[in-house]
Amino acid sequence: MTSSRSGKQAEVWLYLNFPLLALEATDTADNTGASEQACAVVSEQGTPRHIICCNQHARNQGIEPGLSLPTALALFPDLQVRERQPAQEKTCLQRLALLAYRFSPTVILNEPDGLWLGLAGCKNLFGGYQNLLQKLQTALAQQAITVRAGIGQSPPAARLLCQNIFPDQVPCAQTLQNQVANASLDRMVLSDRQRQHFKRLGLNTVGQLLALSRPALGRRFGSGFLRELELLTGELPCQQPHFQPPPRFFDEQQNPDGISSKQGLLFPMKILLQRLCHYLIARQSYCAVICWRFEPLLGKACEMRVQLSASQHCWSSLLTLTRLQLERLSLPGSIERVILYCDQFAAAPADNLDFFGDRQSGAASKTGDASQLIDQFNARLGSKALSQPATCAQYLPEQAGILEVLARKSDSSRMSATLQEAKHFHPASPRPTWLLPNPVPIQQHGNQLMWRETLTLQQGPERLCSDWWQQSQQRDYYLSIAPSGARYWVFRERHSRRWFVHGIFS
Amino acid sequence: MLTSNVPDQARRLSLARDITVGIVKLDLAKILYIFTVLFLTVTLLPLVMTQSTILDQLLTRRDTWRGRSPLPDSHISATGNDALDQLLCGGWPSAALTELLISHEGMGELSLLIPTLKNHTEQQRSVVWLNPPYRPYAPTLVHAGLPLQQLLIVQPRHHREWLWCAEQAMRHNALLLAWPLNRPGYTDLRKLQLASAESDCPHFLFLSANARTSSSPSSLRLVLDRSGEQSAEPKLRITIHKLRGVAPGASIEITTPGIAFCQILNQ
Repeated sequence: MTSSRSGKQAEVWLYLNFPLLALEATDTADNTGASEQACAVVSEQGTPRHIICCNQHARNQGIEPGLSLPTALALFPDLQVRERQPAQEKTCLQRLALLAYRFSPTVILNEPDGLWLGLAGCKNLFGGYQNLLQKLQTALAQQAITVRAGIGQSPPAARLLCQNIFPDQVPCAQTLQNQVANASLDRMVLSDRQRQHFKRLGLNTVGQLLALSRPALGRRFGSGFLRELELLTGELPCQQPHFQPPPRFFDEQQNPDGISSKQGLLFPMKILLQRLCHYLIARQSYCAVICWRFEPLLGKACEMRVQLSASQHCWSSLLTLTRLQLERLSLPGSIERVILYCDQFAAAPADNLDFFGDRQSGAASKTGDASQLIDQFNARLGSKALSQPATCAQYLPEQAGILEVLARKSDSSRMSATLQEAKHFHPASPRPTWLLPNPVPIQQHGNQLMWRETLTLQQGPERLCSDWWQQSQQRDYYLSIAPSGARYWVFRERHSRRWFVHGIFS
Repeated sequence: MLTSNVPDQARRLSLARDITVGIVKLDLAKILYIFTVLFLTVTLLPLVMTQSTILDQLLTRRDTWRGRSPLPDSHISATGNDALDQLLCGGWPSAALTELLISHEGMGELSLLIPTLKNHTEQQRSVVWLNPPYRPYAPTLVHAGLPLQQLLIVQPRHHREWLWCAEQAMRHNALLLAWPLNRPGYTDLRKLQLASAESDCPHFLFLSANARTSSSPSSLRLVLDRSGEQSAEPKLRITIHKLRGVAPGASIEITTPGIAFCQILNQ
């Protein structure tokens, strides 16, 4: 501990290799059952095509990478053959990198099928390497992907020591050095010429190679090889660019059979939302809106935008909102592709947690509740169904008290403004709690005003006029009372001398 | 020097032995005593403790009927009107549905709730106005001290949506003011009453006074009408139609809160 603090911290790298990535990236929701059959992926170009990777069942039939397709089919005619999909492989690797990014900020991609994770800085965060490796293994296991892993003091060393068993702890520095020294030279990435050369020299292990004098090796194999050796021993730091989460989220789920029911859509949606949430956590941001696109086999694609008022990382609440909004949507017949994309993000506010862990009493949980509620109403009823009362600096009541579309976020500056306004608002006469959006004309029987029942004027008048540049309106407002005890806010229009009800004192 | 020291040492030793024996004798008695006391406390105390805690738990349950004794403070929320508080044994029942059966619009039924709304918005809680009959007049609300951004007006299109919204608002701990689209049936009210039990604030349903003849599972049903026919100063009569633990028919008359509220405005 003291040595690592005083000097340079010992580097620990984990290499993850996905040997069957080419095969597993082409797995779709409906053919995951294929893992019980012999399966192989062939190169997308060249004649004859060659096997690139194959699963254990295929290996048992004698098929191995490098065989030509006719030979493989001759060996085992029932072999399931798929074409390689480099784009899908790449997105799959990106997704795995994003997953690894949850465990370490230093993730380096090794295309086409590997990842490095720098573990040295994350030891304390996860409470020791053992815990970290365990969590990583669990997370990888959920991805249903074959993993090989190795730990070393430098990225090439980790790749050199890659094995089928997932390590459960980080060995000490000496053990790691010994492992590298004892590793066979065949496992190093070497050209055929170099390999033959070392064989002739009688070198079998990496340790024997490292024992030779460096200048001599440099003269024989060039400075490039010398650099590789320095990278392997960790004398030269790794310079490769680190992985960063992409600026926008885009993911899709394919279903060649087509989904015809909304219920059936929930499963791919759930997977996509879980991935989105991992992405959001990695980026430390919230999404403001998520977009769904449902592409049918034939016909026009259908899009749906789900607005979020405040932010959540929780995929289950996003799924609830999506489901609510989906109920209002009419979908095309059979959906082949479900796409989720999101490019509007907001920085996650730094939340204060309660010191005593008593979140119920915190105001944050309650406002969180409110935004969730708004989102749910929005999703089910549409944004038109929601509104908020608002004030406006106008004289006529219908312009002073309006209903406005819900503001995106509770704006503290606006709030203080309305409170300021309230302090200056001293009406000369009472104001009603209900306002009729359109004044309702009152019947007049002689001197008697009739609206629902006979009205008696009790207080007034108070004159309210519109602005001079608008259509001229001058109204005298009165408080009136009915025999039932109901109170109404009535006015007489000065020009037409007609009476109207404009509010109710509820 | 040496010889004279020996008996001295022996005496000291014997003295030390006596003391240790004494301590041991004393200890035996003490230890026995302490054990008995410990034994008794260990065996009897939990019995006493569990009985009292079980009783406490029972008493703090919302559905334990306690006669006329008032509900614990956590289950009520003050109305802001002393006479009304007294009538309702403390205030509006929290986590319950309150029905306000109104004979006529405009008697001050909404103003009656303004102190409660203010109280709840101060606790950062939102207020959902579900299907209000008219537009809430913002300047009045602001002047009453209600923060507008915590008020949410929802206009559902049909009865099923209305029911869903009411339930969601209750489950999200918002104070609900609801005006029905269609007259809700017993099952609907039962559903709302159950949903309200999971929240911790009062919820209000405004119904017409005709609904008083039908039965309802709501915790509190109040009839609001006008007393003192044709008098210049009408009063709002609040009659209990149903409240757990209180016989129906008890009523009070208060000055129309709308007018009281207007007077505040005039000052």
